[in-house]
Amino acid sequence: MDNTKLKLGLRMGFFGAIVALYLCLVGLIETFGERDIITGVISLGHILLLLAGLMIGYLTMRQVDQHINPLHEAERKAPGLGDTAHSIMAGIITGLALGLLMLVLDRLNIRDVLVSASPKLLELLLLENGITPAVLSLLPFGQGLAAGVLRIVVLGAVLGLAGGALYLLPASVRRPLIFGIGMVALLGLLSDLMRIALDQPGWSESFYKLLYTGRGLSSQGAGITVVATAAITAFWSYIPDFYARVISILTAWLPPWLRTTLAALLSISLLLRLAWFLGIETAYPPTLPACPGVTTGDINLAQCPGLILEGFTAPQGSTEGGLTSSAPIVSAAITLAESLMFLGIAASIVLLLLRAVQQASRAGKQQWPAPPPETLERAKRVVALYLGVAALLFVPGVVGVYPSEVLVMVGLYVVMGLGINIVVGMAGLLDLGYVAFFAVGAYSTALLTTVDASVGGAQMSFWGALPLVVAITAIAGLMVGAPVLRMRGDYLAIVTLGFGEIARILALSDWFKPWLGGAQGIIKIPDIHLGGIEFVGPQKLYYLILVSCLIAYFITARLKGSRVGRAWGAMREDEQVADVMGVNTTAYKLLAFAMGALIASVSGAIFAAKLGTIYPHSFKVEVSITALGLLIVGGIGSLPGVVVGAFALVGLPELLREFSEYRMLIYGAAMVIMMLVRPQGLLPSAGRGRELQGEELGQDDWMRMAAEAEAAGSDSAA
Amino acid sequence: MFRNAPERFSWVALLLWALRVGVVILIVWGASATIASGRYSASNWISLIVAGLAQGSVYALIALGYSLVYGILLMINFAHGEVFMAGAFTAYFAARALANSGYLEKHPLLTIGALLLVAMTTSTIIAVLLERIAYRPLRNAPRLVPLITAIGASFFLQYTFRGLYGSGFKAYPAFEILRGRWVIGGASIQIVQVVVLVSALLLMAALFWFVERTKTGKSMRAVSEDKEIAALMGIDVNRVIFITFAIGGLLAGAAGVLRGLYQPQGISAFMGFIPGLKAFTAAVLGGIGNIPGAMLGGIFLGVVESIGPNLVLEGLGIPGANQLRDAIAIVMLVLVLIFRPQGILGEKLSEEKA
Repeated sequence: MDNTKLKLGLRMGFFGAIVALYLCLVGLIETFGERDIITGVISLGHILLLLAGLMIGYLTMRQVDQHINPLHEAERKAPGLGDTAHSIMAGIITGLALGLLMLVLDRLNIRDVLVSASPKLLELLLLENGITPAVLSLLPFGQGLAAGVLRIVVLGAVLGLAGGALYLLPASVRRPLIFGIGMVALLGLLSDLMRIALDQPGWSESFYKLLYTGRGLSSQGAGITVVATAAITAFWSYIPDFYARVISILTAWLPPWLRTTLAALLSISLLLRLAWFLGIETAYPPTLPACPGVTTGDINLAQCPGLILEGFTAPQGSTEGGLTSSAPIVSAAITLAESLMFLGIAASIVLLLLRAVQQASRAGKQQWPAPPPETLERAKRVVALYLGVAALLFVPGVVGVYPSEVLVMVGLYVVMGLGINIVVGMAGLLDLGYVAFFAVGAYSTALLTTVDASVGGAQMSFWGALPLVVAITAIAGLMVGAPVLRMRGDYLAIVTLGFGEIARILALSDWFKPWLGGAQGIIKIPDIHLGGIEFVGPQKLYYLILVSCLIAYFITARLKGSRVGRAWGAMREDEQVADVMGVNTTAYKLLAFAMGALIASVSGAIFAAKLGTIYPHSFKVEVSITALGLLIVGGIGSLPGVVVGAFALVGLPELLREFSEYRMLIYGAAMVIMMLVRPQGLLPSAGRGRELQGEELGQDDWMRMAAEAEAAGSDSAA
Repeated sequence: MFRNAPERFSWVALLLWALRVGVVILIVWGASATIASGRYSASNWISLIVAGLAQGSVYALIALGYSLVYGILLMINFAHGEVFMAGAFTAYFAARALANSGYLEKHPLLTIGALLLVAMTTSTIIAVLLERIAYRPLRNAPRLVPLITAIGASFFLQYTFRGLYGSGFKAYPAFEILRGRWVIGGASIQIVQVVVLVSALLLMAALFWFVERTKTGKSMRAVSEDKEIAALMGIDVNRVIFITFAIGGLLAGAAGVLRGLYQPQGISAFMGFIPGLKAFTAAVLGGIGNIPGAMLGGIFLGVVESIGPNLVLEGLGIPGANQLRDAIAIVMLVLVLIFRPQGILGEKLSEEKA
């Protein structure tokens, strides 16, 4: 056995032991042990341990594979099954550490110091309770401490082997497997959400019952999930082809007037549905009055197919439940539009069938007529856009109240992420006090609109206040920006952090209490109205947030390639050079702060109106760190990155209450790990991240590239 | 090099001048109003100043960690406040065990020594691990990268220790010998404050001796001067950086125990954040990278923070002035960075360092 490889195995084992002990002692295993993933079989805590074991095996194998003397690169050979011995060793060491922990937990009371070292943890590590007999029979050695210790060591070895083997598998097998297991964990985690969304009378109930039982997945549900996900992953690469084929048939075989009419009808009925949804007075929790096709309750995923059918078949809408006078007209319009739409769809299907028969009758003579590529491309884009817009518009109605609440939180952070992206990502000014702008936005909205007589007196409407709020916050941005103009990099970060703290301290202080309400904050902030629509409850606020996100994105996207964006880019890369090249760095820095601030103010304004009450406690430094963290996890400068980051860092913890205690722990770890492993973020924007990786284009590279371009140019000319 | 042409009028410069004048006027006005009102006697002021000195010496110990690291790596070890917390929190359990066994009663001084040892060990381990895991791989990365890592590490450590040791405040057991007060010329001074101040000064003296007189200290100074040349001279730069972090950790651990000794409301996993910020302020105040500067800055900040609310803010008629204590340090940081970025004792920093 190779000596260095042996050392690698030992080192990884030591690392694994530390990670496993950390997970146990910091309380993650115990807290997550309460959450069933597969009911009665495995909890989230166990999954965490299993994943740790698998990761150790996998990483050990990767180290062994990559560890090769560069001088002997030629002799490099692919690792074989024999090399899994190292993974197994690492797994055993990890298992031994946990076994030792179990002995300590059993013999000594260390709970006075390490609060998580509880009997509960020991019970979880013993792997005895909460496990079905069928699974228990798979875990040998029976009951008792000694058996438990032995079991966990053997389990470590098995997991090490499995992790090592996973590395050796070809990617086409490994990916479906990992995705399948990941999907089980995800669906198990989301079980509460699924219960709310699916456990309704009707077909969805049987679907829910098929997958879930108790507070987690059922065993068969887990099996189905793994198989289905693995199958989908394996066939994923065919989906674009399939999509292109469908679109190609539709564009080639449907006459253009029918396509246009269908699209128009679809848009009209979607918009009418939306108007209906927004126009109805939703109390919180919502009690929707009857809408065409919907009998009671909010619009729900479960009822969607039925809803459309019923909307088609039962055309009269009820006018009960405080509907506005226009309701019957809207309801009739919905019915009309949807009827026409279904007629159109039916006609298209008939037409397609006719064409297919026609095609079959002269088989072999003519293949499917392919539309011209540019038409196809456009059609593909248009359909994708339609699907995307429809999904975005109808998501709150489909998922229900609580998930919409989460979406609203995610949306608020997406707006903030886009704002901080201007300051940090575009202008390169690390602002850790970003929460201050969010707070200024929220507080000024509160002061301008509140109907509470003890503070403010303006009592404006939200829309009247909004321009003022934006202006005030932009001025606050300038006021923060001006003193820090001459500071660079890390100083700026600490000073802005300080500003964020000052904002909170002042809001809390007795000094500002007459104006800002001290620790109790400002109450009675009215809801947002627009026309006849009252934005109450998360399902409606969602639309407001969606619009803010789009506006923020629009601003960001337009700034990016503009003169301003390029000036910021130059400043970010090298301030002195930018200055020399004629960029007015003072003005552009201030502009960056003001732009970032005004975007945050919109988020803050909606936040204030959403809660109805604000107090300083909501504006801690954690908000800045979260906004920065989602930007970093997602990828600085990329919109999909910000959205993904917001879902990962805000949405998931919001859905999983168990996470809340460990939220900042996970953010912190994520920030460190991202910076070490993948500084460009999960979904990097094209062309960025170079700065963060430190791989700046050297002069030689430039010259080489220029030479290549020239060569390519002369080739084509010749 | 370039002189600022006076005819080039700039709004920013005007604004800064107005700010400068405004701050001076506010301070003078507030202080004179308070003194004229005669609300506090001289002995009150002495007590406040001594409390400020004790508090400031703790800041100074933490600030030294920032300053040493900044001097060598030009980076702000944002997580240094958590290094301080780790020591204080771990030593709390040692203190409780010793108090329960009765050892504390019999040998209070030895107990304090033991606590210092525990805290310094813990903090050193954390600081060194931080350097090894989070900072060393990023040493050649752009400057924002290690800073972001440090912020992440800071929150990671806070919540790790909360997970390990539990949430909530924990007070150190009472030391009988530290309890009393001395009355000197009408001013009553808590003994614990004097002990804290003296211990901190001793540690600082030891550090000063180490950096100025030992060979390792010399290599530290060499590395801080120029890493590459130092490496060419045969100095193991990685080892020096390791030692720097270790020393920062030692001092922060000691500061943690001292803070625990006189902090009546106790310690928690989040105790490091604000003192960390203030210690950074102190380091900047004295001139970052400058060892005597960090000491002076810390003590100065402690005193200003102690008397500032009563002297200036109350004079300005601000209610609840003591609530704004934390804000004073931050405002001072901003003012120093605007008007004298090189600090009290610092030399003019080159553009690269500033």
